[in-house]
Amino acid sequence: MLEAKALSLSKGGKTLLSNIDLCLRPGELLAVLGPNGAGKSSLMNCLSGAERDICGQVVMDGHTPAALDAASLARQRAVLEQTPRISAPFSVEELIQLGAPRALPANEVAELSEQAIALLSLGALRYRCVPYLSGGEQHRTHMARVMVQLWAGQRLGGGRYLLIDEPTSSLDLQHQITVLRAARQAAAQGCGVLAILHDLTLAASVAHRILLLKDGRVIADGRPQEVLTRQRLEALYGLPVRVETGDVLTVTPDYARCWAAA
Amino acid sequence: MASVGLELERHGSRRQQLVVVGLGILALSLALAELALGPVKMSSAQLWGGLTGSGDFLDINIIWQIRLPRLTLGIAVGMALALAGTALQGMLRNPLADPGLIGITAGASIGAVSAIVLGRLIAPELPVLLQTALLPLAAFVGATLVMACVFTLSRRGGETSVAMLILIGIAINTIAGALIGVLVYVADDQALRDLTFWSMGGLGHAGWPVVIMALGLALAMAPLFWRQARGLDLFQLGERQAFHTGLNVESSKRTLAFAAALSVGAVTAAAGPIGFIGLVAPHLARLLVGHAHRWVLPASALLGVSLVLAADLAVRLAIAPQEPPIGIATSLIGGPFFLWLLTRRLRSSSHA
Repeated sequence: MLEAKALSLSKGGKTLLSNIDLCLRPGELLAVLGPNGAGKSSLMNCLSGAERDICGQVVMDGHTPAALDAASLARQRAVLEQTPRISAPFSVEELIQLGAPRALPANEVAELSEQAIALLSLGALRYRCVPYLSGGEQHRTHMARVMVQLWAGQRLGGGRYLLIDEPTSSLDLQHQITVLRAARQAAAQGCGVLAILHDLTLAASVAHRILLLKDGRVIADGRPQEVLTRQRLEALYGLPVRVETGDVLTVTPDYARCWAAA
Repeated sequence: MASVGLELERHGSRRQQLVVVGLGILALSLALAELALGPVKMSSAQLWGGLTGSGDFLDINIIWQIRLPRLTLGIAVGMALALAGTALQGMLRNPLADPGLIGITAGASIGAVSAIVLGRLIAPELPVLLQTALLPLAAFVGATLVMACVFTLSRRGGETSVAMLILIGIAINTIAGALIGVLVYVADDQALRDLTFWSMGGLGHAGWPVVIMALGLALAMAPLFWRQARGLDLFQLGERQAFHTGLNVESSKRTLAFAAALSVGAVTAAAGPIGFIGLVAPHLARLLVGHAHRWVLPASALLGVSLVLAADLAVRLAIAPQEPPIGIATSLIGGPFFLWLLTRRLRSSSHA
């Protein structure tokens, strides 16, 4: 279980997170939603162990992430940053294999990278240089690298959590589904998955649970149908929205009213 | 460069293995040439006789007193500068980082010159071993101080700024020049002689103890660089993502900076400032073997050795028996190469 207890974070005199309680259980896909600057990425950095000067507690299966060394932490959880990048012109395959720790034998690394290439449909791009790919293709390649890190962690007795920050932001419709299918699959295999998303409808369809953040505070945490209500979203985003509950829960801005107001 | 990288991957790692073996053969043949060629040319029989001590007295002396220390120092210089350059470029995600350009060599020079000029005052009091160690030690201290200074000053919001790094390098090179000028001014005649020879940069002026010290330190640092091969790959993701992927960023940086400062210090103390090897070797290596550091590091070390030996051969044979400083040859190749890199980089960043 990955937990935050009374977690607060301030930087340069500005409070980014205040008093957050959160629990990510194995096998669960939790979507974190909220307007820009709500503290979603800061929250993820605290949970991943990258942020060390925190108030309150983060506990990952009984350990404090920031106290573990980088290598054993990387075995327990994999992280996709919001804007992943690479300075050297590695090929797609090389970049994906960077996710595997040195402890894993070469043949298993190759096997996992094949698996990730198939899962994120990167077969055609395998030998291409990453910096010359489109933004979305690069993003998928980094997601594949993160999946390799997660699976490698599982083979080494970890691989418990997957934290992904806006994994779909630069992707077309088809590949949004490709990437989130990988995340769902990880959850189905018993990982705790935390995904920061912006598309409310997509989040409602993919997540087991939704956490709404505003100004560094949790304003709702629960099942999508409970959390994504019209009043709450209108207050959160300051915008008229329409929430339709049918087979799928869809949230869209109430465009007619949005444009009429302008 | 992209198409080369693209081509490489298709052949798997076999091609990289072949390239590294090929570079090994190149370095080895240059090493043999370094022993055999010179004012006195030697046949393979003479060379063997000289090396094993069974040959002509003159040959033995030429090999053991002149050419072998020269070769040994060349190997140390090439390997140390190339590995330090590769490490700095990888760690800073900046292809222009070079021990000379960012001021590490200048720092080592201040240390070495201080040791030459001021060390004469205290050296007679010291035990013999420490007297030999004084020069490399002082160079190491100088290199480390500059490295710490450069890294602290060029950091902006957790990232090391490329432009700042180069500008700080210019400033440090200027300051070092002034400090060395002061030291030259106060130096006595003997120190001045030592200093002049040293500052031209060359493989021929150092005796066995200093040469062994340089090679020993360069060899001792090599495994430290090698063990960071994956770390250097991960640095390319940026420091935070490298941490997320399992790299202890701070300890990795400390190890690399320590190894770079010590090896650059050691070879600068022994051979004087020799520029651009640390810039050119890693670039050529990446052109040949791609960007994975487990290949770049060995290829770069072998290329560094080959470049230094080739430059030394060139300056020795060009106007034999005169020996112009090797620094002239490396700067003649390296300077234009640096300009080319700079313009290429400017062009690509203005398009982006």
